[in-house]
Amino acid sequence: MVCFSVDDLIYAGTSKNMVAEFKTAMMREFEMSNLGLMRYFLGIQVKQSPGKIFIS
Amino acid sequence: MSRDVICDETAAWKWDDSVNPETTILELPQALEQHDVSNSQNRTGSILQNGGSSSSSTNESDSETPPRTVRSLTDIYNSCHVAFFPGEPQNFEEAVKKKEWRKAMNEEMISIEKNQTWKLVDLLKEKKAVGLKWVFKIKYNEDGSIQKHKARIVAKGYSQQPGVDFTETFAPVARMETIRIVLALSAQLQLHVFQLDVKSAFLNGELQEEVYVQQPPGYELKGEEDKVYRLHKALYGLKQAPRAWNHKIDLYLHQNGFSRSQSEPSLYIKKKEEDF
Repeated sequence: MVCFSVDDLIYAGTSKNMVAEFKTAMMREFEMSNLGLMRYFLGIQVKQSPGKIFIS
Repeated sequence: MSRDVICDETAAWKWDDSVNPETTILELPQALEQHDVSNSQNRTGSILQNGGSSSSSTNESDSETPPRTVRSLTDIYNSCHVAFFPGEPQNFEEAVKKKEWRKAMNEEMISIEKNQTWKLVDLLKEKKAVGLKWVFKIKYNEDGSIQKHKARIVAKGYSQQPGVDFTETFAPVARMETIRIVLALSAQLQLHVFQLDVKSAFLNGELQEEVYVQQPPGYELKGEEDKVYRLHKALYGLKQAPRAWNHKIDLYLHQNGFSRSQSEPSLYIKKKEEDF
């Protein structure tokens, strides 16, 4: 599952392999900065903890 | 009751008493001044002084108050502690005087060459070249210190003609609802959501149209000043830049087995056999 807007994108997946694969592929194809876990996206602040995602 | 109060305006404004003979003195009409006084009586209680002597003192003191003076802007700046930040140059001529901006411009030129954005060609007579300009930006760290000086070449997209320099400009953006759904679904499935940021995304977009740009200010090639660049990739400021980038990422994701959502063009899904 990938969702992007202009030059930011967020992604998540049920398969850990696929997620990692996607990341390396994207990093190879485009010049990217890897921001790791989603913290701030399009004005939404996000806090992730097991089983829940808190947005504000 | 309120008629007994006079307004001590000199205490509030600290007008310089020595009137500069050159400055013009504005004398407000009596009616206006009275209106002023009664207004400030209602608003600012703290600066009011109780006249107390007689009820007619208000009118008398109005005519006695020193005329309002005019102060020069420099006076005001001196007393107001205006902070001036290190400026960002407005154009190439200003930037070229500073070492850090020259470096930033060189970096931008190198990255454009490396990206194979354009190729130098002769401009055909019936074609028009879009002008370029430099945009300068200082990027700050969170603590306010300067992170880097960024110079970016942008195209003057406003001079592009529809049908000639561009055809389609629409590019989808993610809707808030979509992002929330992605987050909600991730929470339910206990997934981690990761984030990537594409650097200078628009420069990746490949152009469908024939677009020519002039040589950037200050970087005209010696002896080839009349030539222009034929763009292969998009530049910031071009009308079709977002679309070109979107097309590029769409193509890439499709090649990698993703499929675009029917109802939300910014959402892509990739399924594996064992999932779902």
